[in-house]
Amino acid sequence: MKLTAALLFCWVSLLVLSVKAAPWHVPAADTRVRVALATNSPWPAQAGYVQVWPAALAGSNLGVTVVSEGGALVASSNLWRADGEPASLIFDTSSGASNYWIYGAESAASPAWQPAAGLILETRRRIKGPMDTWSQTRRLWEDSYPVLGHSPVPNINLGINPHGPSMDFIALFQGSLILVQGGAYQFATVSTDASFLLVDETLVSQWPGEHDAGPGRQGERQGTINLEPGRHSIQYYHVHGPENSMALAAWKPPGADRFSVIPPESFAPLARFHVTAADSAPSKKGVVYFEWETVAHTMINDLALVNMRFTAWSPDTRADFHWTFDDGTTATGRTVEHLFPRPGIRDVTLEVKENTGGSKPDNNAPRRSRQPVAVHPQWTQQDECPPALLKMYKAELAARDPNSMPMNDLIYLGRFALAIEDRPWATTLGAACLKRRKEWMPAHIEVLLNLGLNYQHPDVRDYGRAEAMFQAVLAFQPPVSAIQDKTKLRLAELWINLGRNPDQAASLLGKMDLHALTPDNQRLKKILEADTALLQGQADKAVLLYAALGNLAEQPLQTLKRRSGLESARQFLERNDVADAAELVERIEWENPAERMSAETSLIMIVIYQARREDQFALGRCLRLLNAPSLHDKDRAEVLFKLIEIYQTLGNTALAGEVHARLLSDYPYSEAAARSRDRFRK
Amino acid sequence: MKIRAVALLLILAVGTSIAADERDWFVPLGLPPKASPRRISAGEGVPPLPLPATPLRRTERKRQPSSATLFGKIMWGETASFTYADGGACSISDWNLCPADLQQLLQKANRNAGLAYKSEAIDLAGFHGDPAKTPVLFFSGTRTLKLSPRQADMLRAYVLSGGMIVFDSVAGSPYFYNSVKQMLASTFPDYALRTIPLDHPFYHMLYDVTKVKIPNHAPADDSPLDQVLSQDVPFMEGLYVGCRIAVLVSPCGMGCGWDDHAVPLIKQAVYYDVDSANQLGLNLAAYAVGYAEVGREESKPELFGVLDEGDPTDEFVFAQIKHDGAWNVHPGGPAALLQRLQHNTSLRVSLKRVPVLPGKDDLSSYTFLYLSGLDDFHLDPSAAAAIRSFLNGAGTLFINNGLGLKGFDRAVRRELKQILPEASLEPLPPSHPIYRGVFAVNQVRYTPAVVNKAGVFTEPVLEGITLNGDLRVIYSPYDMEAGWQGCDHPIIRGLEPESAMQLGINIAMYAMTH
Repeated sequence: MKLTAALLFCWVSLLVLSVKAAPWHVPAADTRVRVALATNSPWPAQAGYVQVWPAALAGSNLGVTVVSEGGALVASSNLWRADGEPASLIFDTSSGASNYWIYGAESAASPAWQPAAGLILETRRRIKGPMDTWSQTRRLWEDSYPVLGHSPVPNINLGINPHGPSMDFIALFQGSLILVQGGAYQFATVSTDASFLLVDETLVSQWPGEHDAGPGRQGERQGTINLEPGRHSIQYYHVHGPENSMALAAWKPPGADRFSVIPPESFAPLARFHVTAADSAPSKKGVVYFEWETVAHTMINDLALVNMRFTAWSPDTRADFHWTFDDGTTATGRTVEHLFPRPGIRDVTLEVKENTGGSKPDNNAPRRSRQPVAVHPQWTQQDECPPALLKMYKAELAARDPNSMPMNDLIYLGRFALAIEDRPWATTLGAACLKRRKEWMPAHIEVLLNLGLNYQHPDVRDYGRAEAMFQAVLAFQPPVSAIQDKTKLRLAELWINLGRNPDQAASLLGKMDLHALTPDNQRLKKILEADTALLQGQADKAVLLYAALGNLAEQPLQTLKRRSGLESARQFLERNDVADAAELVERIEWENPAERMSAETSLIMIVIYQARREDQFALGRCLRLLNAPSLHDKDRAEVLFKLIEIYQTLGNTALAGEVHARLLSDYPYSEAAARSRDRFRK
Repeated sequence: MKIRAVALLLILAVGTSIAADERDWFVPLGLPPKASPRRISAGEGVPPLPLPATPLRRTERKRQPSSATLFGKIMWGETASFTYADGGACSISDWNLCPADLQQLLQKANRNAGLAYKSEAIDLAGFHGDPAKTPVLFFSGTRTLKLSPRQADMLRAYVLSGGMIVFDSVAGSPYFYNSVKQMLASTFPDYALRTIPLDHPFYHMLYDVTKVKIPNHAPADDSPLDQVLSQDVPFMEGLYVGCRIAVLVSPCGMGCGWDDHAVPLIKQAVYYDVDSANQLGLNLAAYAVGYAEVGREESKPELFGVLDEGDPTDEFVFAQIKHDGAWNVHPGGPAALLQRLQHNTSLRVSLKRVPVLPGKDDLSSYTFLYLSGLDDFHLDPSAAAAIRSFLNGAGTLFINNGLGLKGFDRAVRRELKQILPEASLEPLPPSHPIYRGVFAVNQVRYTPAVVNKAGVFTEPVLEGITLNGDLRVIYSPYDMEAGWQGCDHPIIRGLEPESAMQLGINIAMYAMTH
């Protein structure tokens, strides 16, 4: 262990010495890195590829200059640069040198050198448009925007977009084939949806339109072109759809007996370089160069938790490295990993303090770099939500104090917790949000409403907090009318479900602008108005309001579907499949709200509430149902029995006893009365 | 179908002796197995190109909705292997000769009527017997059905607790059909197998099925069944428990039609064509769904009483006539009426109804007799005389047409002629006091089946016979008792519950006060 540390120290020291010993070739530059040919890189090559990180610059403004070790200017071009991201560049390696200096400075200019090597992939966000012909697809490519990225790839074999989300994008591969043998070459494309392959700007094979890949997997979509030995340009266009999609280019060179994916070694080689040392200009000695990369992510519904790795370059290997992240956390060490609770451009500060080891006074001020960093998913990660990572990341973030993290992060985590249906976590985050209501912003309100709804979920049942959240959302200023109207609906619904505050619910519903609601919410409002009338004991009014929403005189098929739904719901309850039962009954009541007065439907819903331990909702439903007109005696007896059960569960034995006495007196021969007698006997 | 059975090797689990002609019916009735498809393409023999990996996405978890079970297909009989003329072989079982029948039927039920259900195979040895979990048991077969006494007892318990059993003689085999009838006679000696009339809800649940096609049906004899089937009308028999068909027997095959093909391999097969079978099958699925609740409700224990003739009371007693037809149409209905009568009126009411046999039981203690039924029934002369005497002694007879069927209507009019040869039923005018007793019943609501056929009308329809100036016989051609019971009875011709209850209370009050 000690030997390894000593060797590493020597290696870094040598690098540092070599950096310090080299003259500063570009006076205007702020930083420089030394790059060397990577192990296993293709070589020799006419061009090289490297990534360099902006040091204390945004990223999109990073201008680079490549020079040889001797200080000669080397032709180069930016392949890609963007805020918070490392810049990719390609430079001329025809000299055969394997080490170069790359100087960085703030500059919008970008050199325009065109290399004749490698295979470069460009992807763009796809706009809608036809792709049934080559000209349509070419137009689609030209009109699609923005560009998501450029990067070198080994061959044309793409299922994942390395520059962004793997859906709705359009891709172009461009490069050069180096052929040693002339003759008739067959090229085939295999893709989901449209793809076109051009050699020397001649369309050789194509597969336009929307389709699956299966029918082309044996090279059915092919074309032939006669090629001389030497260099030939190749272009491959592919349109990726909203679902998983893929594309590959295959060939059958002269003499081959079958198609195969065009191998990487058939393209003009592009050498790969990597940073071996970094330094800042004498005038910018306070700047520290560091790199970052996405390690992994877990993503659900486009919500991502991203783990990043940061590595500092410093001549002093014994220095103290102190990292500060804009989510309120810190870390120490030359290389650290950090889990961000929200993607985006995040602010990372590195402070490096020389460690003198106590041998001499520490007079040097710490060096400090503040850097915007683009935090985004690891786009090439195949499994977007590995369960083990989800568990680990969730545990790490749940351990952070929700009262001290940035409000935007707290809200994002609230969304994430709701998306993965982690109700306890969402409950904790919701409580923190309630405490920090002074920090709320209009963009947060919809998430807060959803966190409020989480409190009334069957697994949570914290109706007090749900009401508090809804009230707080309603009190938020400036008004966010659309969300606040939704909140009014939900608060009124909560009260009605609990069988409480019917007058307040009526007043709340009366204050809403019906036309500002979505059609579904308009219907919900009307249903709630009818429910309120029923809870208030205004049965005639309720009947009219329900009737206005659904067809009371059902057609036979509707009746049958309703019966089928109720029978299935009963069977689901028998096998304890409460969720499916609830879904069926809720659909029946939504399609024909008058069912909310039906004893059969309501009694099943009451059993569902009881199974989910939503006894207060069950109580509210019983109280409403007792006000329903035309309730059959056996059903009324059954509702009274349910009330007894519910009051007993809620610990109100006095009321349970009162209802029991009423049931025996009013319906002595009912099955419900017999059951109640048994219950009380026990 | 040209494929012909050339060999049948029985692998008998149990040694049995089977008549040679019955063995001819033991053949596969599903579609024959298809040869493996041969891939034909330009690059035949070349492995496909490997495709690149794509992202494994996770979105918000969405539960796959599950399906409830509607049919349990009962496993019975023996298993054998069968070889077709082309050399293809398959395994066949008595219970599953047409393996895709229920699966295909339920797919159509989902597609055509939104009834999302599944079926499952059931071994009677481990059957739970609970209709709530498996509403319908389905037997299909061609050969003699043999059940142990224990299995028969289990089926009886299942049916009486609300379950439904369907027997499909899938190729119209007399062996299966006769053995089913024999088994039902011994298992349900107190319930008669009756022909389901064409105006029964079963034939009208989703489709009005009053005409069918029975391909290649050549009457083999002059049996009543052959005669009926020659008329291209559907023929089903049923065993009623309460008002519902608790056991349904189809002597003419349906299963192959559900699987969209004719019955193969058996020349003498009798079966409905694909369209007829599917319409009947979909009606069956709808009926099973629609009447499941009725089954449960009518299987509940009911309180019956006997009148203590030594200690007569002034209570209103609900005496119900037993006859040779289905007399107890809606168990629980009268009890519900009596409870409401007690709640809403000042009448002293006995909450236990009393079944009576006119001609055998003394009717002199009663002021009110109730008669209901589903189809034909007969009163012997002594019963008719007893009822005549009851009516002449100022008693009131209320007759309710259970389900509102024509067969019962005809029988009522015929038997009333026997009881009161000089009188006939006349409509009661809307001004009749019976509509003004406890409730002012100016308007009533009829079930959708009535409204859809006759249009919207709200006048109450009662008929009656007046003797010596008093209304003594009241007849409701629309079912009132289902409304008293208070659960859905799809496609019945009757009154909605609240209207039925109000009219029922008025009739009882009228009987007590006149």
